[in-house]
Amino acid sequence: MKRLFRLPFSRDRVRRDVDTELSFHLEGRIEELVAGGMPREEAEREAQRRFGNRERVEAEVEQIDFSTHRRRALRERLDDLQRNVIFALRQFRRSPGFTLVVTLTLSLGIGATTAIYTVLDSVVLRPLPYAGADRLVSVLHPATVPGNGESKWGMSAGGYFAFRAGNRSFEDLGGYRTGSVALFNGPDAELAQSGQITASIFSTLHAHAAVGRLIGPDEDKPGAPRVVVLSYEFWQRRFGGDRSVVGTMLQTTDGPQEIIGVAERGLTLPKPGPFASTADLAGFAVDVWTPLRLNPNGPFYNSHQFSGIGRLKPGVSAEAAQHELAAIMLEFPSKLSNAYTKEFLKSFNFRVAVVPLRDEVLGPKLSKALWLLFGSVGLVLCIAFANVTNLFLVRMETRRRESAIRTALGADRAQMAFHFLAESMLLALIAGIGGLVIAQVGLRAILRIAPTDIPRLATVSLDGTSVTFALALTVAAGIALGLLPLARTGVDLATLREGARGLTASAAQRAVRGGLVIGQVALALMLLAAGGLMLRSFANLQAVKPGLDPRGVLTFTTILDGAVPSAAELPAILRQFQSRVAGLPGVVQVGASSSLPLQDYGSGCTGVVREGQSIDGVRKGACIATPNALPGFFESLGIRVEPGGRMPAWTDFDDTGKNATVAVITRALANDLWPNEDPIGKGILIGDRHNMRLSYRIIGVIPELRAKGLDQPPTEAVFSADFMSEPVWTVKVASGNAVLLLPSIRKALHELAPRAPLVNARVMTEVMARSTARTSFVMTLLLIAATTALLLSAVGIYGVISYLVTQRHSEIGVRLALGARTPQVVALVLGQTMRLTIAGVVIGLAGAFAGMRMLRTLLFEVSPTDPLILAGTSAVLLLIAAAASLVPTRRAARIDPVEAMRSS
Amino acid sequence: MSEDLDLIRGTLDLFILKTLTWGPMHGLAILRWIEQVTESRLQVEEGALYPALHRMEQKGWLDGEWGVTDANRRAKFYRLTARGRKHFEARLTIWERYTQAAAMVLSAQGASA
Repeated sequence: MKRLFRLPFSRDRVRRDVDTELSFHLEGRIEELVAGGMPREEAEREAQRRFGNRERVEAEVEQIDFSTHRRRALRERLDDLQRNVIFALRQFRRSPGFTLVVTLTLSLGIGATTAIYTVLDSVVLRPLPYAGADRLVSVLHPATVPGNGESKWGMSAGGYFAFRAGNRSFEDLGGYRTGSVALFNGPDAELAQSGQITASIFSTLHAHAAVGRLIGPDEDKPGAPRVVVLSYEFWQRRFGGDRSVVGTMLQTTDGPQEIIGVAERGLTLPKPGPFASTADLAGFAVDVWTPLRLNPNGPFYNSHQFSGIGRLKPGVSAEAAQHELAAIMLEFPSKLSNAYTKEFLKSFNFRVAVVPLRDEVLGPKLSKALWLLFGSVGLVLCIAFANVTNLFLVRMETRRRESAIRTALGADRAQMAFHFLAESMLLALIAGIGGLVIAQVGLRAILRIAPTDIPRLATVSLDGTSVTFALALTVAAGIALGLLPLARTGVDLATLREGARGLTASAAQRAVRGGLVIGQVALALMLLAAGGLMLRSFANLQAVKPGLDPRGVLTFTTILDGAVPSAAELPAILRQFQSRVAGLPGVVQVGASSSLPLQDYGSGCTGVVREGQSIDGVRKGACIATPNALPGFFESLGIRVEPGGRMPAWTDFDDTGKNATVAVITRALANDLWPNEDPIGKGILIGDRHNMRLSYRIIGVIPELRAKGLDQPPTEAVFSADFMSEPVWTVKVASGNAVLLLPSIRKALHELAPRAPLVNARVMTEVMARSTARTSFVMTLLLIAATTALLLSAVGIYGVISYLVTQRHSEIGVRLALGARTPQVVALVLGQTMRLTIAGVVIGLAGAFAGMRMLRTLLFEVSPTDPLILAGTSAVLLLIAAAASLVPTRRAARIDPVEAMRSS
Repeated sequence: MSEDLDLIRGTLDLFILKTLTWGPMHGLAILRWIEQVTESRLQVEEGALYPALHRMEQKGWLDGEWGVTDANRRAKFYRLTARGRKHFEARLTIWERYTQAAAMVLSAQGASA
């Protein structure tokens, strides 16, 4: 208390005091000496001599005093803080319910927001892992395939050379495709992911070698000796980081290749190439880098199999670069006449686009979905905050006396602010820590349910950025809640005289509280509606008939390239393997295809025409899937064929093991090629990139097949009865777990082809689930956010209504005494609840109408303003509000009028 | 002079604390008291007294308060705090043990065989 009477610190006064003190000393000495008989002047000199250097002493003493004051101020502040913290803790102990609800609610809000922010930050906000990634762009060709809609094609070899030679916008430009390659260095064959690149990819990405050298232009030429660069991770994993492997040979499907170097750590391609299966989409990790060795002199084809990446010169915009490439592209028909015609450019609306690489990697849907989720949990945080605000407002009422007494005792606004801030900050900090725990748990849960094809998601973890984010939320919440009472601590000394009773909330307060409820309900409605729409989309997706039956089907890929002695033996081995697997217990059907529906039908673009139709016709280059299929494939997947047709059989293949010349097509393609005609028995030509001379006789039509994804239109495809060197097998079992067959299957394979890798084993139901994984991921998170919002709103409504009932306790007592009956009281309370809720629902519906359009691209066959969903969510909210006010309503109905009036 | 000072610097705090055990005093009074007891055998550079006083004030051993002398002059009086007294007693014990030991060494009459 002593400090109350000390004057505030001032440097000038310290200086004056020190001066007075020292002068007093000197004066005293002089007087002493003069009294002893010394002349005054001499006495002064003597006193000064004895004293020493006065300036030095003075400065030293002043410094000591300054620091004394500083320390004392700090100590006082710490004492103050300690006192306030202790006081706050005592308050928490006194009202544990309040403390628990506030911290839990805030924790939930902070935790959820932090978790989603962490995902958003590492997937969307952080730049790609390349030097100067903001200047990297993707070069691609948008085209409108007649009858098949908009699609994005990669770059062609001819296009690559033409763009590279003719542009002035790019520092560098490269192309690549991705695939897999079997390696035979060890006792067992293994499969590695390969990045087949132009040497310019390395220079475009500003990549460096960790050991040896990277692929240079001289090694990226037709006829150059075959070389390979290992990725750092593959080098570590496979060769234990042994430097001496550089210079040795890597034995691959494509023959021996010299290892010339190891790329820097972490170097990978930003996304899989255009023909990659969707299974590899998880940020394509390259194991080995090989040069494409494209021939700059052609011949060139209308084949768009390369992903293009460019590095813009500084100051050049993507739009300007696109403009330049578009001009170069107009010369394609004259310069690359073999591959492109003017008619093609026109009929396909063939364009070129230059887009920031990051946008291309993420895709518009994903970043949109993540922003949407972030927005949703942000709304949850708002609701949580509204609840906490409400609780604080209520508590402030009960503590008005405390504030008034403090004010009366002379606490100024700053001290009051400090007092309340310490309390709210402490609460917020506890909530922040809880939030981080929730974020960590939530993040793990998100990673478990997340689809694997979201780039960079696997590396997401709580890091400095997330903690900073959570801390910022915490501090903001603490400050806002702490300053809340201050806004209303006008010197309320009247409160003291009023006594404890009769404190009714002012109209303004009631409005604030009602507003908070309305806002909560509105936000919860929007979230719930979004969740409902996603749920409906998901249900619609699930209801789509893919045209195949995934149940009991095991699928795996065998790599026979290089694992069978010669290509001539391939048919026999395929056939033998099939019959051995078919003989395993429980196996009903075995088939194989070169690509698996719902997985590998990304964007194969092969030309298909009717027999007799010109190969330069409109369908040249259209995106039609042309997988090969062995007998048994359709049966094993339960793909039906229309009456009148049939499936391929081994009798279609001749005895010498040559390919058959029959094919099965889908109804979607049949309708396109032969509208209103029976295609059975008709001839079809497939262009295999180099010529258009493979002809097939159609023996069957598949009525429905959605092989590209459940949310995609029916697939146009030609299944030709042909052999393939990397068959994807489909094994249908009658019952039980098909995966248990794998050891026997592997054994059968290795008896026939000892070195052949068996990879990508999984059950078909999983493949199918994966194709809807993004939708279900977004849906799950939205539903979690919506449920949380609903729960929090219910708590909020309950809190406000029960408070209002307490406030109107005596009023209700009077009404009852005057003859009001229970139903009227119930109507009074419920009416108040419903007025607030309905206002919230109306505002929420307006918000939903305005905001749900953002959802459109994420939805499947449901309107963003689906009336059923909006009506349903409104009903749910009204019900929840009624339920939440049930307890307070009952309490109001049971008020004893006598007791209520007496106590007032 | 400077030799005296070096000797005194380490013990000046102790002298001040001892002096103040008699009651609150201002700086000059502290000096006069020390002169009186030592019969002016210790020559202190008087200015050195003040940093020592203010430092001990900062440590909370002394409390400085402005007061008025008999001659009606404003002066800063220093009072020993409870903490200061405790500190002084602790230091005094150490000091006594040290001086005794030092005296024994310095007055020893040669090594015993």
